Amino acid sequence: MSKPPVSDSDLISGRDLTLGYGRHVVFEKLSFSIEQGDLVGLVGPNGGGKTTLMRAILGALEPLEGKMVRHRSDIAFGYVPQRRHLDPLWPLTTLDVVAMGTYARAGLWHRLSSEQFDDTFRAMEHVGIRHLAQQRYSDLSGGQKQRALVARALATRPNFLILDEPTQGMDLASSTGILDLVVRLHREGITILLASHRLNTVANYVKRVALVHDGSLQIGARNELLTGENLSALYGIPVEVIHEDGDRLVVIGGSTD
Amino acid sequence: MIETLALFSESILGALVVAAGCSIVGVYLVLRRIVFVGAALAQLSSAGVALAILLQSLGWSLGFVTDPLVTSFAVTLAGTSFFGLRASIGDLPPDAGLGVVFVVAGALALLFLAGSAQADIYDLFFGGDVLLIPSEQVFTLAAVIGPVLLVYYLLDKEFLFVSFDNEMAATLGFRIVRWNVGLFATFGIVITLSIRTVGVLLAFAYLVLPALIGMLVGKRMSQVFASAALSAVLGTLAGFVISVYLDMPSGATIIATMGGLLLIVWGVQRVRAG
Repeated sequence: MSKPPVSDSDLISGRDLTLGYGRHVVFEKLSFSIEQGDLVGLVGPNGGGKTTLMRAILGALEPLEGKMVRHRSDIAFGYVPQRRHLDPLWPLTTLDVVAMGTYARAGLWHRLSSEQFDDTFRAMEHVGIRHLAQQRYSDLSGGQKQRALVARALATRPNFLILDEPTQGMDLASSTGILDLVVRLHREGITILLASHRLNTVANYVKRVALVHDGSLQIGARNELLTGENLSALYGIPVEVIHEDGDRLVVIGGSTD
Repeated sequence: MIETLALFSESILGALVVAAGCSIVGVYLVLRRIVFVGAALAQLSSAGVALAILLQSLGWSLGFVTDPLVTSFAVTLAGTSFFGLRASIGDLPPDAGLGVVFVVAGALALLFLAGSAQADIYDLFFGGDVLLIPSEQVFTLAAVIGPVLLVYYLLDKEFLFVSFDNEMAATLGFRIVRWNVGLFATFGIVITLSIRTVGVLLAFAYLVLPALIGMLVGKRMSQVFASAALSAVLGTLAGFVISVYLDMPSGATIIATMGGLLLIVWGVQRVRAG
């Protein structure tokens, strides 16, 4: 993300975007670009506007002003929403949930074809949950649910994956597993936008960072943006950034994350 | 007893159609956690009928436009559009809009009736009666609810997707507002016709109780729909038989039978779960 001038590698750009809901404006005059092959971490406190920005990129939120420009006609989004957004009351198997990723291709009125089921099972295989196909989705662990949602996004055959707080509420092992999966998908050529309020998550996995706070957006290379000064301003408390063994740790008030 | 049941064969048939329609619609109402949409739509339906009565009593008879069923449908569909739009915007608590519609529509129905000289006559009409379903009404029920159920079958994945995860559906190009309005319109059609046929209480029971039984029994959506419809049909037949045998009011007996069925299913599940 960054730099308003269009380059050949740009996938999608926001130009003078004003985003919000009705009279409530979240961002004003926002300009940015996401490049093909990017792995961008969208970081900011809860309520800072991360979801608003993602919805605008996905096309689910019309800008109040300005334009969201797609530089390629073949952009295919895969979206991984927050798990808590999905009601556990629905009697759906993992297979049912993942298959939703193929619904748009199936077409109105039609049942899913064998090709769409193949895509569904392939996506489940890809994220390691093929054996959970007949399990009820609401009975899965947090990590398994997240993998199911990533599989559903993959079933859409995306070249641009957007993940909203994919590690929220997970233990360290599950969280690491999901982030390793995200990095693997990026290496396979998928452009990724990863939203998280967990600084260490972003710091150690992404190439570029977008800091969102209070209607502003700072975008740039991870090493340039994740500084103690920037993060202190973002969160309103003293933040120190420490490098260890080539990894980056963000320390807040003496404790990590 | 068989002769008595044969005497009410048209009523039983009509009730079965209503049971099937409401039980399928009810699954969506329960899963979307909006069962009181049914109650609010019932009030709107009543307000629509009352509006027609008021217009007729004022001498503004405009042919089919002031037919109680037509105004009832029109007002209810306007309400479903409101619910459908608001459900996808999601900027208000879901139950707040329902509460507003419930009380305002109920009050309007009363005010419209108060302005009419025929209020007493139509009190009975609002009530509906499962034992008084004429053969032409059975035909109307089948002609309207049958196609609605066919739409549910053909558009099951679309209705499921926009109900379960509208954000994801929107990113794949589904027009959420249109789908919601369409789905809520089917609610309005089935609920309005059902209330007019079997009354508010039984229609509401058909919306809620079979869906809950279906959710206890079914592990997948198809099983939930099938169990809901089956329990509604069984509850109706058993309720009719019991009501004839015990000489009890049929509507209330059907509700009690379905309630009993729900308790049995719930009890069996508790025992199985240990």
